[in-house]
Amino acid sequence: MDWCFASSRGEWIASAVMAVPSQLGGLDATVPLSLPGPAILAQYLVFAVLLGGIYGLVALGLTMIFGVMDVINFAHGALMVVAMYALMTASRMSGVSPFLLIPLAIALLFILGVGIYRATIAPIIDAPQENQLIVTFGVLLILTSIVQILFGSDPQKLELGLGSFRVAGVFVPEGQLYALIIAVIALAATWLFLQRTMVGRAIRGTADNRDGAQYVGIDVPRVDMLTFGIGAALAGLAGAVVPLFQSITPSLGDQYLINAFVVVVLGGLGSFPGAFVGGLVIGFIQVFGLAFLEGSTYQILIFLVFILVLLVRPEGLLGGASDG
Amino acid sequence: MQDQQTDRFSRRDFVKYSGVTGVAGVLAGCTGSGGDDSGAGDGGSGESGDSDESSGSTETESAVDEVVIGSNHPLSGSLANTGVRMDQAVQLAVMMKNEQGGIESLGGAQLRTISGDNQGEQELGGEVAQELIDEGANVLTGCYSSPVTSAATRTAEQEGIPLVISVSVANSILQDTNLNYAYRPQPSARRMGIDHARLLPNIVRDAGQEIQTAGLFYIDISFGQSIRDTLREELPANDVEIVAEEAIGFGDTADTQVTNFRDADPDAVIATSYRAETIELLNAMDNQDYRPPILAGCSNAAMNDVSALEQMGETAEGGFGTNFALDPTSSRAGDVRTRFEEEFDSGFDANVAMTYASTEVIIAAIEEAGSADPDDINDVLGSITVEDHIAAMPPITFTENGENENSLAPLHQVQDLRDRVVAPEKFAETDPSL
Amino acid sequence: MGDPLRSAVERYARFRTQWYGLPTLLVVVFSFLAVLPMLRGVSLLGVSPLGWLSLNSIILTLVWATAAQAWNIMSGYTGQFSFGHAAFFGIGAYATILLTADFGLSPWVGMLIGSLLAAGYGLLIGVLTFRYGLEGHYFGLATLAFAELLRYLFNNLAVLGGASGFFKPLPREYASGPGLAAFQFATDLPYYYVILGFLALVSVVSLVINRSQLGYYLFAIRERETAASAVGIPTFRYKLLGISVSAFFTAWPGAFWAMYFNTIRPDTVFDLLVNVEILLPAIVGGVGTVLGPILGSLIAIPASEFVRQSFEIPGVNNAVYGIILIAIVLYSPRGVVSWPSRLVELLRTRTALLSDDVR
Repeated sequence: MDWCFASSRGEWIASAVMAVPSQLGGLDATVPLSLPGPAILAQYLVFAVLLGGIYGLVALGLTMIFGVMDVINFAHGALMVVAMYALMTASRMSGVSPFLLIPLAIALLFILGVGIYRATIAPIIDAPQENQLIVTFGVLLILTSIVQILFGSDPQKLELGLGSFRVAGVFVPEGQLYALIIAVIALAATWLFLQRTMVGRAIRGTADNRDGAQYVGIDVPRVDMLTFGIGAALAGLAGAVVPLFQSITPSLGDQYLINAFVVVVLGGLGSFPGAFVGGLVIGFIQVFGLAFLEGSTYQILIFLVFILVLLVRPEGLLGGASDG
Repeated sequence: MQDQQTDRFSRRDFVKYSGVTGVAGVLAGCTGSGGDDSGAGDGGSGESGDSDESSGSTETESAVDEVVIGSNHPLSGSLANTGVRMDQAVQLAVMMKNEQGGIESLGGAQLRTISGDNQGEQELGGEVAQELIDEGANVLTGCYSSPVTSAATRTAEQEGIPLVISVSVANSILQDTNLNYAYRPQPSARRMGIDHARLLPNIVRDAGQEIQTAGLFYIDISFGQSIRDTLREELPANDVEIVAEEAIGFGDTADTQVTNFRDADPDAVIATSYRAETIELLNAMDNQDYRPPILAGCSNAAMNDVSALEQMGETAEGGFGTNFALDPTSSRAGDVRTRFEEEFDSGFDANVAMTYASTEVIIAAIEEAGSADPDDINDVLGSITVEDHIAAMPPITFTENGENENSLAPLHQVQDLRDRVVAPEKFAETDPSL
Repeated sequence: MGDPLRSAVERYARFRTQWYGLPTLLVVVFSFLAVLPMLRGVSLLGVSPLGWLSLNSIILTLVWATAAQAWNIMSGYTGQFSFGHAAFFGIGAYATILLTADFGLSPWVGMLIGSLLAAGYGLLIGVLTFRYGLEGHYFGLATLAFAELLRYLFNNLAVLGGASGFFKPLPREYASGPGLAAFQFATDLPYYYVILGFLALVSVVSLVINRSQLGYYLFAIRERETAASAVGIPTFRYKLLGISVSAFFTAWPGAFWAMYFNTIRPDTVFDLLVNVEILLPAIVGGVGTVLGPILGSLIAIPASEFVRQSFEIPGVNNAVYGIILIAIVLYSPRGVVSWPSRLVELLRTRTALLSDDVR
């Protein structure tokens, strides 16, 4: 171990003093200090946008349930994983293009979401929030275990033969691009649904004021059920696009879950456009952090930004925008 | 200490008799094609056919004509893909020894494997080790994840049962401790880094090509950082300058990292990661139309795994890797590989090879001890020299602290999407092609 | 026929309301825990009912019970739900092992310094979040962020061990050998009594706070913070006190973890799941009660252990454990400590119904 940290006291302090600035936020010590060329910078930019879009999409379902029901759905990532494997299995068995099967994954997850709501959330919707946390955590354990027992934990990849476009020296991977396009369509569709339909208005009304909604005759338990179903369906959509560009494992949901928490808070509770702004912020920090900072230091930056936003603007960067 | 030993009525049995396993039985029927996960317990699917029935029965207890090896691996959780195969490697080694007539020095005593699932959790390392000991294990092997192995060494030490580590790379497991019952045939992370930094530049330069710069791609956990730290020291010592270091986390894509490599343009990219991240690396290389002149893996199981290589495709072709490997000069090694693939219908990778070799060390020790007594076996392990094993390594013999004195990580190259050992010369099966 | 049961339950309910009720129960529970390791060997009619429970697993049970008890002092009493107590747990673990390994200090001194550092970090979190008025989920997520922040900080700093963390040094390197002074033992049983001692101490602190003026203030903050503040309770200061005390004691089970297991890493002691494991016993047992975290832990962790041993197929145990957790929370939202009082209610309504019938 001795090459990993100095063992004697004097050295320890000296290396601590030296190491902190160079290791935290310092430029890659091994790379000469110079800005990469424009093509490379443009490449980072493209990846940041693509990644941000996917993070935004992943956060949609979470922010919806959070915003309307005030429930933190810990099973969100696990729901994504269910959709990933459902899509992959359906596509492999039927030979149908996964793109055509995405609606199927969404429908399946909607039903699963409604089921989970009725069995576990509805009975304790008025209980303290920590109870809902444990319940959704229980759902997470169940779903992840089932997927793992059925499919094993080897990473699996959907062979789509997708390549990448090259535009002016910048590569755009097809898988991520399609995922982003789907994300934008999903955002628009959900937004229209919430703005233009009766159910959507009822959901927004409930999000604004649960007690008030009850008084004006909105069937709040029904709205909750629909909200949870739609939230799960959005998790399904997010899960269904992941295999387009990434190999999948049963534990992949956990990583997306943490990011989604951050995105939801950055963007503002229940705000859909906010989810995308939050997603882009995280996408940019991750890509440029990986490009210019050492190791996984960018993660520290993400949580610092997260805490800062929580403290200074707890309503989020675009808080309340969806209400308008 | 009396309370350490619960009475003969073991815990698992207690639960069994309370009737819960009936449910498990039903569920077993449901898993269907996922049957390769059934490694727990008594040998699972591999038992059918020609193998003798004694290795399949867990209920019969007779200490006289049987020696029990406890296999402590992650059979569920995120490490299960490798853990299950490692467990199968133990079972296969035992099965093949039994087919050859069992332990000669014990009058043909049969070996039996009992398996425990540590889920890759530190809390369960010692717990599962204890269960296996309570169920009668005379010697243990495990545990893959290093904190888990470390927890298991504690229990092994307290109970006086030898533990031969199957795979666990962390340097400190043996180096910073004084354990009397722990042995590690495999090279540590440091050893692997040193071998890689020496063998790779040598072979490239011998072929008349140059390697002056390298980029490191590593998974940002203990395993990746340990190798990275060694390479940071050892590559410059072999005149290779590190021009980029790129970390990847679980579940991430490798797009930005590959862009960084494109920008830094090293002669070699050396990847230290698990299978998923390695696949992401090559996928991102494909997407950005980039392939470094030399692609290599250090302690990267994906580079030794035929199914992973097929997933990664052409970009992996010609890539190098340093890892434990099968000895290609031994015909037995080839037989083991074939048998494993037939028996369990799953890929044979470096971790499987190393686990098999570790089990061979255990078997050799039992044979030499001529006893099932853990202390006798432990005494032999302290002085044993195992010549006949399937790993591409000189004879295995342990130093004072339980490390293999002759541990070696050979260099192999992916040729026709199979891993072929190319260095050191003693074990090379083919010439490198550059 | 329900009469003897009913009168017993009624008597218990009266007993619980007495000032000595809770302390007596605590003495009973701790007496049970003190002999639990021996009880595992006791066999009745050839069956040892607790034989399946390993010493290792009851040690873990007490680790999480202690952590949950400490969590409860802040989150249970003041209602500020922390989802980031892994931060304090991990600081305790790291300070203990790092100061012992690199500076040759006694692990006990390391633990004390770790506790103070944890309290300091808690204070920092408190000052920031309470000053800015974070509540509910926002507070929970902020604490989570503070914990995750540390995980990546430790992972990326080589001086703090990087991702490989630390191995505990051999006892002879800083003490005369294994023993209480070295915080390292050759067998597991002494470890059990050390963590039992920790749990007892934290429980006493919790009980004292519960019964003191401070406790009333904390409960007042939980019920109606604005009202509490309106009647002149300095809520900000008391919340800070709550989080520091809680953080201070959460570092203890962390320190124990470091000394019991050989090695610590950012992804073991700061892991996301550690946050869940710390608060889970309290929720299962009953948030805001002294007995709850202990009982919750005594149910949740052995249950997980039993399920793990019961299912031969790897992975099934987690699914079953998930079902058990959901069932407990659904059917007992106030925790298992509420079972006796719920039984009383149940029996009362039933007898009321019965007597109605008679009339």
